[in-house]
Amino acid sequence: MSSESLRYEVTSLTDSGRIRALNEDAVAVDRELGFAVVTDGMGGHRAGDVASRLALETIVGRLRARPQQATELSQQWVKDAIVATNSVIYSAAMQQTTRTGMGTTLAMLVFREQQAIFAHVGDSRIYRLRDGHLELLTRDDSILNDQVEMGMLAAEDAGESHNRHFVTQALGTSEQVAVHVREESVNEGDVYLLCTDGLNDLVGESDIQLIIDSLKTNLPLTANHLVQLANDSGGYDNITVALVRVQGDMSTAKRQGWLGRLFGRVFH
Amino acid sequence: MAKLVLSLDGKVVNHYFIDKTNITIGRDASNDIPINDPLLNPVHASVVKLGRDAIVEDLSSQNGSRINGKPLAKQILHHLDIIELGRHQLRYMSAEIASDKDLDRTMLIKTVGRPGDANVDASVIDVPLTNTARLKLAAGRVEVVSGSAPHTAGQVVPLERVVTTFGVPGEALIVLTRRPQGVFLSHVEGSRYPRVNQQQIGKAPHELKANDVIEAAGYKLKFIA
Repeated sequence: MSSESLRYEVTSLTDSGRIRALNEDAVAVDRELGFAVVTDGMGGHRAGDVASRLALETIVGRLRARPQQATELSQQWVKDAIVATNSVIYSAAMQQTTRTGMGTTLAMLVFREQQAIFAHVGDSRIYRLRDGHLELLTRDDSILNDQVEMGMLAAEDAGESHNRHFVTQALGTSEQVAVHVREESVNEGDVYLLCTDGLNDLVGESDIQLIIDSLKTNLPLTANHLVQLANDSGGYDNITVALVRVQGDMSTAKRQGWLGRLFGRVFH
Repeated sequence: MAKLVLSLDGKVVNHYFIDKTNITIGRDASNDIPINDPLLNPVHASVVKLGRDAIVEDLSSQNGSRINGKPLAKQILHHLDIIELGRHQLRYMSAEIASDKDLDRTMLIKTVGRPGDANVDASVIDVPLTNTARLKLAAGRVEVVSGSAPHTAGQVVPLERVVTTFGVPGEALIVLTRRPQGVFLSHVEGSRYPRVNQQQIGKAPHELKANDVIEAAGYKLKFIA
């Protein structure tokens, strides 16, 4: 598989949910450049909305402006871009009293040849479906996660915690930010899901896995089903999903598809 | 601020605000909540405050503790919970939780630093869903009138999960989706849209009625509500 052979199919969907009037989430996906970003804003007086959009615009601007050489892109580049985005939001918050304390989570995925770089701040998540199995690739910056990790709380008791929506850090709320970045190799057929907590708070991982694995050949329908199930389960928060499906070389896929269809017919 | 109200035989003895991260309860006078009760261990139980949660734990005491009538090990306190220790009772009062309508809103909490580097990705723990999620989905079954493997004609397929697909991914596929208001049929992929009772449906999900006959993806299926 050469670096040119990977193709991405992308889709995104954001919904204010069934309770909130305002959608403070934001999302961007880019098939050509191979990235996906979700943000979930917080702060009163519409400041959360401002923070999530500002974060998205800033990071997407940087991704689009970067030199096209894949070698330029690294975990450090991603970390620097997010730190810079933090400063942009923090400065904006300082300039206006109504925006003091505004912040946003961020989860992003960017492809570099056959590698995927994942980064996040806060409790927005990245999952990967590989060989029918869903895996959470990020560790929430949330007090609930800390409680469970430190053994303060049994994982099965976490569902009744009052701390569900407390993130331990966000973009824009302080001068410093600790960005989580990692990199993993990409396989053909991988499906990546980036989501805000409006999805994973209400839809279990077994259902997320089932929906993506069953419907991944129609990504918009997959996104629609995920958001719909969160809404059917209460829709207490804004719900945002971005999906990226990794495909092989198009001509190869077509060839295999044609043969596969032929043999599929013969053997069924 | 949340507090614990100590009572004995139905009479209030004292109030204790949960104003520090770790509160100890026991027979010793050095405890944050000293309780002069011979049935208690010198240090009997603790309450640890973390964000909005107060977590109560019995510290392997000799006579144990109970919460709302059940043996206590360690658990999150809820407004009006009653902890029984010896002959005494502690009632948990949390005005904030009782009145807060904003619990679902994401907020930032300032915490002391976690041990270790923030960039070290520790093992990922699956935190379960919020307990408020209670989902009731419409039920149904599908009778396979005709079709190919893995199904056989005459087979009845219960719609157990939220989605059930029929067909071959990459070729022709339909999905039956359980929702609270009913079961819906959607076209996933394939050059032809499904037919319901010999009428072709479009891109939009189609709500199924009892005894609807679906023709799609090489299958003929009858929906049983």
